[in-house]
Amino acid sequence: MSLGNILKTIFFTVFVVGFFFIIWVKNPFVQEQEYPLPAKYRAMIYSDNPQIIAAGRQILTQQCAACHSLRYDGVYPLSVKSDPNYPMIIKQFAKPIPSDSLLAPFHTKTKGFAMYLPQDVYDAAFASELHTLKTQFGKVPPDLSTMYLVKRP
Amino acid sequence: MGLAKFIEERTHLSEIFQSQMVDYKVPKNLTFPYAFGILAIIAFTVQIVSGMILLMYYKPYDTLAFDSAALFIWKVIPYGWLFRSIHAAGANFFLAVIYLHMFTGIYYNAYKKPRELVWVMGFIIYFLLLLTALTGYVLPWGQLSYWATEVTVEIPGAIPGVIGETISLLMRGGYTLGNLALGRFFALHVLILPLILLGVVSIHLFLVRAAGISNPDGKPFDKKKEGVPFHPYVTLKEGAIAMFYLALFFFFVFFYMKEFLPATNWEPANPLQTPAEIAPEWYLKGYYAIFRSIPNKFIGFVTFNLVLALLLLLPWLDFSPIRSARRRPLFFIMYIVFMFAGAGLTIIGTLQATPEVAKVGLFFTALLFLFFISLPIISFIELGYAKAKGEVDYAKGEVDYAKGGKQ
Repeated sequence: MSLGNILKTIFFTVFVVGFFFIIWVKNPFVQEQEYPLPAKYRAMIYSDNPQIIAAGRQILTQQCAACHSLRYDGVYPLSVKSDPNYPMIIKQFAKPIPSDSLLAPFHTKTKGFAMYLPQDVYDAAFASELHTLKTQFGKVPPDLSTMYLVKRP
Repeated sequence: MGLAKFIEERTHLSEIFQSQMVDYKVPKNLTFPYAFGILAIIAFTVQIVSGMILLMYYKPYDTLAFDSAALFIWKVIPYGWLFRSIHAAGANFFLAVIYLHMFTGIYYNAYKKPRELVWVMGFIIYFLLLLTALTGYVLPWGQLSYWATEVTVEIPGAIPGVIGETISLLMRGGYTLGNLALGRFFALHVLILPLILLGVVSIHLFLVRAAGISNPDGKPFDKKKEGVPFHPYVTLKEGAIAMFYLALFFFFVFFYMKEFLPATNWEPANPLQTPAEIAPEWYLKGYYAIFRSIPNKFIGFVTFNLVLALLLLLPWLDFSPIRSARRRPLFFIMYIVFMFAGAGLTIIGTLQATPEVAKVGLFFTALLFLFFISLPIISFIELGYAKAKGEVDYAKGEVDYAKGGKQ
């Protein structure tokens, strides 16, 4: 293979890979808008302070859980809780948080939150409640426990 | 063995395999980009299989479409998410492979006599694919699907008078996108266009066999001295490339679907709320950038259609007797210009429309046309060069290599 052919091969390969990288992965020409988070909220969100975490969970439970669920904490929307079969379903199907779960360290400290309903049971047993929520809001309000997973419980 | 013998006696498959795969000789110097043809067939198969599975669960009705795609297929059906991801990423990979296949064809001048019909059929496949992708894009009935289609059906409205509006109305099935359009797009996407595509792809493959595969060196090859059997030489080599392609494809399917299933499309279509950014998919962004860069809508419409028409007419624009960019330095330079113009316009299409971006878009549009304009000029120069050397076989209209044509 001559030097010219090697150079041509390198050029075309870099061109094609570069083009698809820009189009599919990262486009340096597009300015992405950034919304800087104020320092005091950043400190709060990334805090390891158990008091702040407990306060945050309390706020979520009081203000948000009526519509959202904190399924991994055993907290469900009001419409779900008001289902007459709710206590029986929890008793029969709820599972403990696995010890290797990211949530486990958090739950071992606060007893009473370590049981959760698996997604398939939750979706099937409370289908009509979830449908009502969806009709009301356009989509089922997402489970906020995932925030714990993301924000290091 | 009994069953194999039973089938063999009735079908003579081994004879067909011998004559079509082993006795069929191809140049031994076929380069890596020749594999894009095979990859296109693989991508087409992947789309058909994944599409058939999605078809079992998708519901083409405006109140059900989003839930059937985003909830039922995605969450309820086992591995439904996988098949939807494969289909969504597959469409992008299919178009990417088709673009690379076309650029390979242009580089090696594979559209020249006697392969003009191969090119024309290939172009029809490309155009039908764009239509298939466009009609499939609306089916998930998400915000982006809805509004991108709304923008697309508005484009023919650039034609002045009643004609443009009528075409837009026909495409949209009324004054708003609704069930009628969804049903039509669904029928086109799952049955009509794939059936036509199957037919046209078959004709394309037949023509490739009838006219013979092109040679990267641009000269006819001696089948006895320079030819190798298609099987096992090409099948093994391109099989290995196909494995690499599938590995790359499934890497995207499993780990990087962000670009192929964008967040905006996980919101149900809402005709009363326009999303912040509406743009066609990347494979249409080049044409979209041309349309957007030109201040007059009608001229923009004509210009991007002209690019399509010029692509179709490539075999007649480039009438030089010399083939392959390897032996044509002037063509090679213009090919690089063409590549940069195409890539530049696509990237311009991803940016927000500002006057500065429009100016850059116009510059790349001019480069694109420069390529097409340069082809007859380069052909004249090369024809003159070949005539002066006495290398043109006038009966065939080609360079006569027996008379010492430039190798």
